[in-house]
Amino acid sequence: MTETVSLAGMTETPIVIVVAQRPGPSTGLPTRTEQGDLEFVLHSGHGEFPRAIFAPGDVEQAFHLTRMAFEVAQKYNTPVFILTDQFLADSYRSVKPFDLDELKPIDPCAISSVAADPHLTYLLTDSGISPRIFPGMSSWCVKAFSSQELVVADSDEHTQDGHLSEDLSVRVSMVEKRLRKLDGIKHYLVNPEFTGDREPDLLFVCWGSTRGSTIEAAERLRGKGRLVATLHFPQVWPLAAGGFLGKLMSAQETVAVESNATGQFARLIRRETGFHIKRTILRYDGLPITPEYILARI
Amino acid sequence: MVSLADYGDYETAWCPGCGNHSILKAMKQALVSLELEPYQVLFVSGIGQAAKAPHYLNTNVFNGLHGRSLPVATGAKLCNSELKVIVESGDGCNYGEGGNHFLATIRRNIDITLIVHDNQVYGLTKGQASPTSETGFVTKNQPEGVFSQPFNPVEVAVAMNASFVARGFSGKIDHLSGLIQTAINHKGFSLVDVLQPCVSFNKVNTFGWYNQRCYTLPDDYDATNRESALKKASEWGERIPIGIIYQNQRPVYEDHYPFIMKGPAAKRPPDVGKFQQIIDSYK
Repeated sequence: MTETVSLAGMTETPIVIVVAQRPGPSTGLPTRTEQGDLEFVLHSGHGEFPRAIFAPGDVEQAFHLTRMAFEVAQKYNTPVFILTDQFLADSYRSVKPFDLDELKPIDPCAISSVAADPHLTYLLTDSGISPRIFPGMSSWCVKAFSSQELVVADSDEHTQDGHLSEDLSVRVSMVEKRLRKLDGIKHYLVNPEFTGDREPDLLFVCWGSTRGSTIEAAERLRGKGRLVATLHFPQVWPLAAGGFLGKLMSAQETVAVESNATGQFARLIRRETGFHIKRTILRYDGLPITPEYILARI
Repeated sequence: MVSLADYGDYETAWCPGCGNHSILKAMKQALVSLELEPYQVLFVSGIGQAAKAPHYLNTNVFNGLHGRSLPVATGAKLCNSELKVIVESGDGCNYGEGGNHFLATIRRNIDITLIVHDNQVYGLTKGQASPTSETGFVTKNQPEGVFSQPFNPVEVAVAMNASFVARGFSGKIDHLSGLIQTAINHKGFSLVDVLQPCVSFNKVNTFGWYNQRCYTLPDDYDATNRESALKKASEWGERIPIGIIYQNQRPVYEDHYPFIMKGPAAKRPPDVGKFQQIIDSYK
């Protein structure tokens, strides 16, 4: 996978990758579940380039975030991940029918509204987004292009017209162009979902498929009179502290709930915000986290 | 009218005398003879000196990863069956790193053309043995000579019932150009393995070495007979046949999936009505 991720980062190819995590390393427990690959997906592929990682917490989120993943990938021409796990990927559940009227098809023509003549696959722009056209489709999106434009894409570092280059200033401008796209991707952030008491004694922090169990554990604790809340992240990259740091700070104690052995998401939050989630409830025996598992460790 | 000028004239990074120059010339001639406009063609390549070839053509290009040109080409063809998709890369890239993709593409019989610059050595990285290097071939990396048996792409392709298998020689430009034209026009997967000298790193299989051995197949050679084709494909050494070794009319992958033939995927917006039907079917 990693070489494709890196290739897409460099060629600026939109791609959506679903990673359903299972316990590793290696073949590990191939029929069981884990959230052990957050750091792997965050860093997969050599080189520096923008990406987004969505982590659906249930079936509905899987549906809507997948659509959003395609939108982000197509708009920013970069890899986007759906980071799920065996537990959610293999789940069946009845849901209410999705309302398709609200979902407009993504229009690639609209995205490619600014063009150079002749077409430059890697046109330098303020947003970092270069207009994208499709090879051989002479009579399509013609409002912005002549009918016989060519597309040149390269895995080597390249000039704006897509041909390989080792020019030092080209390299610098292309690295910066690719990274600028991350600023735009931040407009698509899905804020974490906060449920429970507004100023909790105890705040659970979770991501991806542990959502249901964590929310249920919090509810049961509230039933016993405790002030408990849950902060669930359906998107784990990029992170914007403004959307959640206040919530973390409002709690007397925060606990990260993750299906891995090292608390990868808690570590990522600390890296990005400086906020240290000191307590973790981790499970890495291959089974999904249940409310009982959490409650037994409170 | 398409002219050679439409495909441009670029300064290359290749050594003087490299077979790549002749293959590029034969390719341009073929594209012009077929009256293909630059925008109608997509070249996909991997990594290596041969993989730079598409950069020296004014056309659509995807220059990707070592060994991975066939998967990209397959994807491009499935997304837009109207494109003429041509893969151009070297023997190391296609038969070494990309060996599994080579087998899978032959099995699928997708309508793309693979042109392999076969100089029996890794030239870009300065002369390591490649999958087609002869046993005993001495390099800086294999000072005691190659122990492994060479890969014969033509023989493997015929054995796998590939739908078009040809071998060319960069020293016979017009003959090669004709092969490339026939390959591009062939419906289904077509392979043209092109023998070429590497003047810097292969001092054994030189222009003279190939020129002495390569002979064109006689007019009465029947390329549709797989049994004789297999025999011809295994011929290597003192005499090396060039021309169309084997050809058949196997069903093409795209034809099996009608939606692929309905034109470029990007021109067809998602069918929300169909999607609604699927949702309704669960009610």
